[in-house]
Amino acid sequence: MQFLQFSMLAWAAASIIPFLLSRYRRLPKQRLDWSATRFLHASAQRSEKRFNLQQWLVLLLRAAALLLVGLAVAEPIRATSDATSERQRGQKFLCVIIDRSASTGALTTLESDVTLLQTAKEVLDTELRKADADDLLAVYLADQTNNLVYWGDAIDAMNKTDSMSDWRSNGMKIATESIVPAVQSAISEASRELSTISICDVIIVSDFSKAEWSSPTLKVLVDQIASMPKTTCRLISSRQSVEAESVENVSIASVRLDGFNYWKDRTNLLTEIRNSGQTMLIDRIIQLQVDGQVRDTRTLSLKPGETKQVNWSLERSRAFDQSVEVSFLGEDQLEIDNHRYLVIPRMLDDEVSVVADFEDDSIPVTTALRSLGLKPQDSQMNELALLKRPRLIHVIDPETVSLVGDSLYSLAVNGANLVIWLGNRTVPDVWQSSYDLSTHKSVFPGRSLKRQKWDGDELAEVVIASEVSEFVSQTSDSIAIPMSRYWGVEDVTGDWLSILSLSDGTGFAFQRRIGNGSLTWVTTPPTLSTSDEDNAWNYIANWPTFVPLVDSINMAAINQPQRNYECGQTINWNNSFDINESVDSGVSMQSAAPRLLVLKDEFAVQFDRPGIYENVTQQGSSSGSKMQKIGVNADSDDFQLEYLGNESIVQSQPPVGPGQVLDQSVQSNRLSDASGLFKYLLIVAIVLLCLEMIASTWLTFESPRSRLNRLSGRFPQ
Amino acid sequence: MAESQNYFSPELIASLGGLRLRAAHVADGWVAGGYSTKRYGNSVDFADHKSYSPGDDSRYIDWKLHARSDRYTVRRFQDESNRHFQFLIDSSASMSFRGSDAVWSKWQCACTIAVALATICLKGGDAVGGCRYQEILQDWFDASRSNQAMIQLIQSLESRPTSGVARLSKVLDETAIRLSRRTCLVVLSDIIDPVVDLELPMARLIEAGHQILFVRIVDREEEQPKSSEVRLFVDLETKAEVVFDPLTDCKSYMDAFKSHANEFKTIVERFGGPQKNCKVLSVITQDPIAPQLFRILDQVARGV
Repeated sequence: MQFLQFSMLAWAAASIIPFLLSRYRRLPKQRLDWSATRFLHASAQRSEKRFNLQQWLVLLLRAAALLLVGLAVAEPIRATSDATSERQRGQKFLCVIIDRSASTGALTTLESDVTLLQTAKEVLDTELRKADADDLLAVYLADQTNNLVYWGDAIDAMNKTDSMSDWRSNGMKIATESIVPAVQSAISEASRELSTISICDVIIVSDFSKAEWSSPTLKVLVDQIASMPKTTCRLISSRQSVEAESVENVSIASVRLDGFNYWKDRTNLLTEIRNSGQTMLIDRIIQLQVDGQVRDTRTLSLKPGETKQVNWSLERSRAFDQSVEVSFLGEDQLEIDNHRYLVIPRMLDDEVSVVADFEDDSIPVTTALRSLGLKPQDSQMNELALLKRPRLIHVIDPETVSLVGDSLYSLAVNGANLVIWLGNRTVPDVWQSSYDLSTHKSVFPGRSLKRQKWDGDELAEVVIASEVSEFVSQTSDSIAIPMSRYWGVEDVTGDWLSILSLSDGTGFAFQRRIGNGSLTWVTTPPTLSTSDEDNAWNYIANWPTFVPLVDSINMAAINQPQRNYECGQTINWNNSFDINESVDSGVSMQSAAPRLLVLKDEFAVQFDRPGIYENVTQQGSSSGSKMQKIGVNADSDDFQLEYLGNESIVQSQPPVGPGQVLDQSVQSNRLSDASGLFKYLLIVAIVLLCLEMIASTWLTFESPRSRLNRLSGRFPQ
Repeated sequence: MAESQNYFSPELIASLGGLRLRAAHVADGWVAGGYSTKRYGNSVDFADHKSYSPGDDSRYIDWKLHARSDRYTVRRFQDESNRHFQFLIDSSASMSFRGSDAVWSKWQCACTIAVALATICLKGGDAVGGCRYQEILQDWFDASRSNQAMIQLIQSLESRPTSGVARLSKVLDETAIRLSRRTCLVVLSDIIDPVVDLELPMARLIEAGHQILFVRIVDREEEQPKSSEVRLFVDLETKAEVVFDPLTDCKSYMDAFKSHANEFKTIVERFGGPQKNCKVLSVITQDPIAPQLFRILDQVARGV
């Protein structure tokens, strides 16, 4: 810091002003002739002392404020930037670091044949022409060796008569892509030379990849150089644009889960990575994340246009869904191109849910499930239980389906198995008179509903079917009610498979596939016939074979033929949701259900099920430039999705443009840091000035009450 | 004489007329019929005649007048006990103080009261003398019943502006020496002197049979300073400068001021004794002058 500047001297002189003010303007301005001052003598001494103390305090505040303002305005640290003014006074040491990493082998533009390294050397030649003949020159090549390739007179380098001409060649080496070691070497060399050299100029010529530009180490080193006495640091970019190494030129061509299914504990994931850019990718990292945890990383190099395959062996580590994400990390590992896939593993025993209108414990099915050692989720009209994506859902009262139909359907599409228990309703008179078969036709358009036995039970099932149609109508497929002999309705679609039959061969449990899941209908055994549906199920509990029946149904529902989950598949979900919409999950499951879906268009949305209501973190993935966040209000169980739009992941852009001198920006950065201090000082000074004003006005230390009395003209009595 | 005209302003005279009516009802008769009623006695100074009535002393029948008018007329003489009033008006610099809301200074107020009292006393047949004082007595003239006394008093008050430092103790000592007969001493001053200095002079005067009436001229702002900010108070007499912070010094000042007044009053009552030969009355410059003047006259009528 140099304080011998005119501005500093001026401010030092100005700092006398407060003392003068304090000396000559200490006493109050207003004088008043008084007749009885002798009565004041008792308190005057105290007042005089206090007044003097206040005046000294005001004086100190004034002086401090003035001093700080002076410091802030003078910015003495800026004096070091004037080191270049000393250039004319003596020999200069020119220290050049040339980045010769692999990235500098990239073409400046796709059309040109000039590499970044060549551009860097041209820039260096331009700088050398500005050097004086007696200047010293040191050239470092920042590659894997970080060689000091030249040390000598600058005039020889200018005339290209130096013996070590390797740095002038166009040879490109596979380097560590970090110029930090070379810069460190340059700093050491510059420190040594500064003892004899009057001024030092450090020039760093690099393409300044994102990693380098955002490297805190490099920033520290540059600041260190700039803070050295009589030393300047210049950063010169050789880069034309940042497109050459953009991760957008890298694509994960296809991913295949080989033989994967969620009944197996292990599967293989095959990934193809392709470099479609013009730059060679050196030691790039491909990482595999499962449920947000990095499971494995691979390092590979890709030539332009080359495609390589990466094969991983996946092992299921936990229940519920698994998020499989393959990420390609850019050169600075900030730029990411990732592809996300969903893997649904095998359900566990406690992944059973019951949807019913009753208390769980009163439901015979629930009791039976508990008897079987299963732990059904308490999902009585509770959408939250469904959000946990149970693998097996028993729907006891089909009327409930109309409320959570979308949710059930979406779960079924994604692999859940629905078991709908159809009651034995007998409300013939009422429904028979009010129901029209045309309604049935609207429920099942284009399908014939063959009527064999028209009675109340049949009609009741038709009504139930219309309620169930809330979710089944969303698919292009149509279903028909699984018909039993009891109801006398045939399965006209042929999609239904009888999985359980009575002893006489009559099926009472039918199943068909919906998406990746299944839908199972279980009818009331014909031997039971009551006038009340709910009571009918209560009677079922007394049926001695009911628990084995439930077990059979569970096994039949789960033990389906193995199916591979179609990873990467895009599911066009009609009931698409607005990801900017905040949905109260407690209102309607229908609106919340789509959040259980996985893939939509180009970006994937996945919820980590255990964390939805516990600790939801960023589980959404990004593709391209899209990002997604998930926020959860744990108190209200609301959750909100936020789409960030085309926000780049890359934090900072490296400088572009060949030959662009960046020392000014570096300098400004440094000064901006210093200016931060000065701004701070300035703020402190302003605060002090305010305090001074307050003190000079209010340093009577009056209480608010006294002040009020004084302002109102009243005085203490 | 412009200011002297103010001393006899119509308003003041009108208010004094009211006082005369009030004094006429005093049972003592000392001021009956107005303060101007003469007291008759056995002195050699002829006062006037009155018709003879039974019971009158036949020695005082004016036979010469009887011979001319064939009526019995009795000669009356002035009473030897007619009082002598000596006015001491403080003309120190502190008397020039005038509060921000006062219409006149303490000095103007004191002069007005002194002239008004003197006028009333002269009309009542009392002898009036006076002087102004600072450190010493100035322009002293002895008590006289002639109108010349009034002229002398007014000339004395208008001769010089207020200045200097008042030394009431010294002045009282000097007054005690100058007074040759029993006199009612009327001191008009702000009386900010140290009380302890006044004890001995007061004792001497009382012991000599004089009566003292202290008329303490006070500006209300002196009692309660109204300065709202820190100011530099400059003493009018000593020119000493004192920083006055109203918020911290005001109460202390008022306490000291009030304590001084109480202390002075205590001493005055102590020296006045049961005869109450020494009294102190306060006059506030901001208050109407007539009631305050009446209080003084009432006190004078009661014999101080």
